[in-house]
Amino acid sequence: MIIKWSLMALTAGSTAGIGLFIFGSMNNFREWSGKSYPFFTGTAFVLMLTGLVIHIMGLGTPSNLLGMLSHITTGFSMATIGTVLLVVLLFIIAIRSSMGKSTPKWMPIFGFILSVCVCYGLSLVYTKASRPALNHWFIPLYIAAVTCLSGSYGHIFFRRPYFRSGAVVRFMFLAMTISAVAGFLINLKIIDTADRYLNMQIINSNMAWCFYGGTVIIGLGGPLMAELALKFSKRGRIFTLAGWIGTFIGSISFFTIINILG
Amino acid sequence: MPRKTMIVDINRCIGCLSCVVACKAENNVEIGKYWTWVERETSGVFPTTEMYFLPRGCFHCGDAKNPPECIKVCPTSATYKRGDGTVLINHELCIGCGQCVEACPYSARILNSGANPKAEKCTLCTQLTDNGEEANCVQNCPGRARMIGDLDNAGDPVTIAVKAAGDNLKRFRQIGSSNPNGGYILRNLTWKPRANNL
Repeated sequence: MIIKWSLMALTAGSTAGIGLFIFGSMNNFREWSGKSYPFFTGTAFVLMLTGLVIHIMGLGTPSNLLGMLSHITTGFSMATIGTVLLVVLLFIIAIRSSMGKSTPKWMPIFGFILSVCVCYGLSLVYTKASRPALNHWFIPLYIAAVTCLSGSYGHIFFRRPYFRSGAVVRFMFLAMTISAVAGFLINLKIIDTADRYLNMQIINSNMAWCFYGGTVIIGLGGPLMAELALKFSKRGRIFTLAGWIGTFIGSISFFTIINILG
Repeated sequence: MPRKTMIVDINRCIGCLSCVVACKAENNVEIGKYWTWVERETSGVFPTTEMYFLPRGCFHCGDAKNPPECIKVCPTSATYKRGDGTVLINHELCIGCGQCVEACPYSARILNSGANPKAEKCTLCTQLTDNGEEANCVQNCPGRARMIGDLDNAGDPVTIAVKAAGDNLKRFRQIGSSNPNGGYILRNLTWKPRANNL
């Protein structure tokens, strides 16, 4: 039962930043060579850098980063080093685009590959083969879904396209997120017969509010309400922001619970 | 391939917690945290009830070919398996990330609470056993319940005791690649520890 806040900062910052970066690069892929979006990459850079700085502070000394090069195949090393490289890449892209220079196409492609590596690394960090409660598909699925969902909200928030556009895609990501959380709960229920302690920690402990309040109500209910509001309201930007923040808070709550189970 | 580990004869354990105190004294384990601890297992319904004490700690799982999860997840290779099978932590390399603590299905690891936390666990008192002495918990066990030895050395008293125990040798189940070497000798009682399902 260890809550590693520094690792959670890295997770939250990286998923939010990567989502923004991926959606920025995927949706504007043709335009990257001529024009990129400094505000887009700048925000992704700030989110990831904040998570990374907190993470490195949690490691004790920056020199500990070098130690991770000795076992690069672990999720922890992969996520940390991948995020460092991604932050450097985003910084270069942001600087170049703020100076009005074009961004070579290999940069967003390399960034995309790094982003996938970081997400894979984060999945490995929280998935534990030796812990039945944490050895399940819901963790990689949740990370992928939250990354895409926050990215899609960030994209329409910054780009200000027609807010009702892309609703199907966002619903798909939201369904993925709901499936991951449901899978998590079902997995706990199934293994409950063999391990009565884990489920009790979620259902009965004083951290139950974190899961039901943070992950379910805010993390899933927030984006769902935002989507409904977007369908009927003209004030799309506020609801987009609400969905984005809800996803962010939901992911923090979810990984807090995963940490508690660990 | 040596597999040094600890075997506990549960029928000899009287639950005095001398091993716990001895471990803390020898290894300077901080207050409120334990490298070894003793659980009390009860089963059955009155009047057919059973109770025994279950000393716990690191089982020094796996072997060189199939290392345990704690070694697999360590980002700095601080956790390693020594040639004799003992799983140890190099504190110079440990960054206190807690990945090994979460990966251990038997809850054998702790993070100490310093400014720079490090993972800790039972070392089989290598500082003593490497010099031919007994581990402090073994020395201080009044019932002589604890034994440390190499399971792959046919002449080792522990291996002889394990062979003599036959079906009475009990182990926690393997989870992931964490295949425990350490085990228990239990006669005439039901092996049904609560933590076995973890």
